[in-house]
Amino acid sequence: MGVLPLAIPGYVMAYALLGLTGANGMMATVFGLELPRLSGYWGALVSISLYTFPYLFLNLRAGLMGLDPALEEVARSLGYRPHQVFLKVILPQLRPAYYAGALIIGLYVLGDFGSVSLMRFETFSYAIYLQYAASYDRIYAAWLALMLLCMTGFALVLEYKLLRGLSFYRTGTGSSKRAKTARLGIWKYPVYFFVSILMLASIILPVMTIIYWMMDGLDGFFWPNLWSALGSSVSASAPAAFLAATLAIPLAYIGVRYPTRSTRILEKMAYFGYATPPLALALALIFFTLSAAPILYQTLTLLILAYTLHFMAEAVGPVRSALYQASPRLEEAARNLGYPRFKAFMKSTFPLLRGGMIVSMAFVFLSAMKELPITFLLSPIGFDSLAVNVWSYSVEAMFAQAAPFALLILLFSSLFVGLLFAREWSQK
Amino acid sequence: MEPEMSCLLDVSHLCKTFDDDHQKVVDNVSFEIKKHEIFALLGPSGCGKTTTLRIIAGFEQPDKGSVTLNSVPLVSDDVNFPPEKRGIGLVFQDYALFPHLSVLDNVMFGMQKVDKSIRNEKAVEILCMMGLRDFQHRKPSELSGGQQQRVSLARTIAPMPELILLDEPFSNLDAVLRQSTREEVRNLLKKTGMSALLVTHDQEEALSFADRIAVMNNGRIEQIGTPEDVYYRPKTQFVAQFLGRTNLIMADADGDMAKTPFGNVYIDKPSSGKVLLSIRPEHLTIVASKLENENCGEVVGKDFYGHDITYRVRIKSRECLVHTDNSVDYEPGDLVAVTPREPAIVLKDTAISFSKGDLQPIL
Repeated sequence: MGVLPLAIPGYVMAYALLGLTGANGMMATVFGLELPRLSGYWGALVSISLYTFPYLFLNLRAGLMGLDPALEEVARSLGYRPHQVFLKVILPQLRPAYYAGALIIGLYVLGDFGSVSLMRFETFSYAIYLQYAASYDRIYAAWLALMLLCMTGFALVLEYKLLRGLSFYRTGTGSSKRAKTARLGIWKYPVYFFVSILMLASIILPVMTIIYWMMDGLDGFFWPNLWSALGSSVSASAPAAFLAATLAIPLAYIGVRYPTRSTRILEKMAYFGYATPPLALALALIFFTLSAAPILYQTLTLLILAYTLHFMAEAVGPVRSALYQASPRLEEAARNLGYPRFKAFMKSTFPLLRGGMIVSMAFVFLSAMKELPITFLLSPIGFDSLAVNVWSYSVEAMFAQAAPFALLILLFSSLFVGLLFAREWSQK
Repeated sequence: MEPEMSCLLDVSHLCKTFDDDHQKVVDNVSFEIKKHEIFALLGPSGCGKTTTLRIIAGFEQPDKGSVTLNSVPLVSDDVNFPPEKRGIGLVFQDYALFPHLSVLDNVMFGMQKVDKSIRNEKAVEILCMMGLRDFQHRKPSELSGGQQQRVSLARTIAPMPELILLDEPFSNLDAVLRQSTREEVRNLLKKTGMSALLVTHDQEEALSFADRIAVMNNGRIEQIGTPEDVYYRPKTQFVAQFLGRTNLIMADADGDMAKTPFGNVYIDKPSSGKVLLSIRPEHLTIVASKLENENCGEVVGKDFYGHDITYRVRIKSRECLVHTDNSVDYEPGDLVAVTPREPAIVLKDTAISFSKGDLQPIL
């Protein structure tokens, strides 16, 4: 359940919050409870928090599952009480997961365009867009983008300092035991309550709002529009997901296995593409293709490349985590048994990365499906994605028209997240 | 030299320094392994033995020196064979079994050169030999430590390399299993005629497993010899202490005798002047004595093990260890003299060097 909000893009979340509150909102018309319309800073904050927390949740979950329960048992046997074990043993081990999750969220917030534009809260990306779209002031837009890049650089330096020297593959023998599930006892009620509130705010209310508006405008809707938008979205997102996950492997590999300053920087390059606000990236690619390779301008290829460049960071993370778990000894064993370098990697380490690659692909695919500004600016003529439809209708406050597109994005993304979990359970 | 005792692996003048510290991890290491021989590199952790093994396997590059297998240079100034072309097997300390493959697939992994039609059959044969037939379809995570160890060994010997390297292969097993596995592996190696290089910090393991032992300390080889050689005739203080309990004695040598606190003793080679002697506790025995005798001492400790006894005897305010069978019976407080049953060994060192954690008695 914790990952479901991943399926809700920022602009859909913002759209749902807008459609939920205010005088004509669902709360007012259905429950007679008129909430002040969310917008500006608070609107942006609420909508961004609600749709980004799963990134942290996923990272922490993976970190927790990777913990060796023996370490907790050791700490208990050395006289630590359970809450001390949590503070002294578990939390420190979760540090890489925590930092990685927090960094992704930080980058998301810096680059978010959909939520802030709908909430009309002028952050960097929204300001850049306004300059480009309204006044065509490229120089001012470029300056804003540069400042944003500096902040991103700062975040990356921070991560580098924090994660340095932490490598967490098990050094012990054999395979680790699986942790026992703890019984919550009396604590389960507050835990359930907290989880329910979270679910209500991040999933149930947004989905209900979209369904409400969809019912409202079901009659006059032109369905073929929806299917062609879906086809367009998939035709760009799927190749991008595959490409990004494939390219992530060499990048993560050199970063993990040859951790020198230069490879570290190389690995971080992926984050630059991610941190570059999508609008700035799209603008840069427009200027670049127009002057260097006009043949690419407004092609599907360029769009796929843009997605790949932008979402590479999401693909590197899971692959890198999987690599940390795969001991370098395995590859040495394969080479010792007569396989040359690349083949040894393909036979020993690569099969262990498949899980990570699938997560990578899912991340990139999901993200590309719901990506708005890049699609908006780079799509070929006649290319009409789901995301662009949602945004252009919501901007005009045509909530009913936007609803089917939003709902389709939601259904599709949830299916994908479901697939992810089904796979994980079947492995157990 | 007889033809069947010809040299298989020749390691010569290896040096290796890691970038981050300037001390040589491997310092001018040379030795050779003969065909069908089991050779051990023995030393404390951090002495460079594992690095030496990784250089032989091809996972580290030496700064200087060469490794030659069957007269073919594997690595030297102008040659560097990649690990996969060396034809040397390696058993990892943590086994490094492929978690995504079954036991059988792990064993077949390195058998590319075996004909496909008989590969399966051969692998099962090896698994049977290792007593793992019933486990062939399991995943490594479903095996116990001892079983994983045997799979790892089966995987290494399956391509039939002439030489296998064993990196502390028994250290992750419990004591009972360790001893029996050691014996099994030794028998297997002797049966298949494979040579082996064992890297270990456990002197008992090296003594019982290897045909010859090289004792390493601080990146250098201090002595190479048969287990009896290095145990009974250590050349340095380090070797004497690392291979077992010993008494170190500063003495005045004159010819084949030396004057020690417990009287004149024979020494193994004629010397003169100040010498450092090593004499193992089991090479000493005790007899009753009287206070007026110059070399009279007192029993201050007795550890009874059943079939044998270790005494601590204090002579002139210093202590020495004496290990006897249970027919020699004294109690703490008894006045005794200590007499050697074998000549004492003259070490190369001329003064005793102390190191941290030294618990051995020094006279």
